[in-house]
Amino acid sequence: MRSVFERSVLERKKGLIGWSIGLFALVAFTLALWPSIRDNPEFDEILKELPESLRALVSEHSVTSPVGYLESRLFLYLVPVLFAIMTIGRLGDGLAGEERRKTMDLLLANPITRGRVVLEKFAASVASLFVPGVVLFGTLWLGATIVDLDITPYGLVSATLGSMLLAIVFGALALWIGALTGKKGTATAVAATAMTAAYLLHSVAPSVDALESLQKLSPFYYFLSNSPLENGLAPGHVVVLVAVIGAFVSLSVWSFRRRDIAV
Amino acid sequence: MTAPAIVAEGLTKHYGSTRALVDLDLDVAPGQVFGYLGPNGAGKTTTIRLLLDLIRPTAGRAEVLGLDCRSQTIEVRKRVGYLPGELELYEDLTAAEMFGYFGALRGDRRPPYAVELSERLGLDPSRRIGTLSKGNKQKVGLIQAFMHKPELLILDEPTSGLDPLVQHEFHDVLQETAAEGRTVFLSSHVLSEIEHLAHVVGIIRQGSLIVVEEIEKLKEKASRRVEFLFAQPVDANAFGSIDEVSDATFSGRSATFTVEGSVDGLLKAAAGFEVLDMISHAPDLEEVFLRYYQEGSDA
Repeated sequence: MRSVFERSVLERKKGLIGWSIGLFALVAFTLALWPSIRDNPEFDEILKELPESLRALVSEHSVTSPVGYLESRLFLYLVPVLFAIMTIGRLGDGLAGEERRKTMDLLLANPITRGRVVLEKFAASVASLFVPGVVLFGTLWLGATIVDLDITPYGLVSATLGSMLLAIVFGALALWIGALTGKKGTATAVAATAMTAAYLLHSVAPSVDALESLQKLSPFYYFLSNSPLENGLAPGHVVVLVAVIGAFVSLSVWSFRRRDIAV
Repeated sequence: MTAPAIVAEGLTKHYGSTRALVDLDLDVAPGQVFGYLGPNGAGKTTTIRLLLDLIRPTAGRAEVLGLDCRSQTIEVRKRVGYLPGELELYEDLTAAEMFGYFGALRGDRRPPYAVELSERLGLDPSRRIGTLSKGNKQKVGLIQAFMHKPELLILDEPTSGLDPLVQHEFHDVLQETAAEGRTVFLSSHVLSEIEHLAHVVGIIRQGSLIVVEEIEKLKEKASRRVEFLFAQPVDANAFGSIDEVSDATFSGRSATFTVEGSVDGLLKAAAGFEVLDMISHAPDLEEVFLRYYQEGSDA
């Protein structure tokens, strides 16, 4: 191990393998169901009967279309939420966990700045997220060919990267709360609550007039509103997500540099 | 002139209403083994963590090796080795992996001294830290502090959990370190350890430094017991006017005196009689230590 970055990636490699296997199974299962969905247009009829508020939970596209199916089954919430849980877990633990396990004193006795510890832990988490990201993309891409699901690699890459960006937003929030409080539980809870609220806001807002204007407050909007599987990610939306991540990471550095490390 | 190893000026740390450290002035000369003595909770760990910029002072400032602890902390940490009092390690790594990791953070992935120290302290570095006993974990902590041969070692309760043989070897390592002109700041609540290893002791109590004194001077101030066996029972009055004698008991031909400071007066008085035997006990630093504490609490 040569750096905090490398250490932080390797520290959780077992978890990474677990997440990847789980994701592979989920995607494989989802794709295996595709042929039976595709050939049953009556699914769309059933979904049309749903109350409006519940219809937000499925794609605006027909669920028997490739884009609509993958959105409803994976990208509308399941994949981003799984990625976010993984990233929140890692980044909530990144600083606060090391502090709670009392190894932070030892680490910071080395000639390495606190800012650098924050940045390397963040970078390690982002790098780690590429492992399930590649598994997701690879499984979908190969699997789609096998079950004859017509989707472009560009759409898959966009949806995968978008899910990752969205996850990193909430992970970076967890990093910041951990940097601020030194409490892993608080960091994880705040980020998970924010994610749930953001998801609900995004899914419910279109059907509630009072909330409609608030939809853009949810990071989910900047991932999903452009329908990434079909149209890719909107550059402006990527900028918004990256800016929010940048702000949380900057706040993490700032917060962590100025406070006492817990005994 | 070389800068002092550690200087603190009015260093103060409050946690809410708790005054963990109050207006500490400290000056540790280079090449010294400085014993920082005090009971648990006196402020020893607080001082150390302030020096390493792990916590920030409420008031005052400190320098380590002539460098400001706050603004030049990276430079400070390059030249300091640190053993935390409440040592926790990366349980999932082997000791060798941890030495390599911390070595890399210091710019040398294979700190050569780590291997030698592992052998001397009897640590198998290929074992996972999580499987090690408390004593062996302490060895890992010590080795990572010493392995880059820092100019200043800051050790918080270094021998906790070490068995006596390993303690002995560690004391040798410490003395070699001092002999090489490097400085050791040794925090401990164990008086005998400080007495044995340190040149100078600072006694801290409830966040305040009570006294800084050379161990030798402290010993001079300490009381010692001196026993005599005379050929005949002696006249107690002959020993009545010696300033240094604080207590005397006579029983037949033997007499026991408690002496503070020089034994010269006592020996000269005893010389008037036929002395068959004399035993002088080591000065009781414990008693001095306790006295400082009691004075401290009266204040």
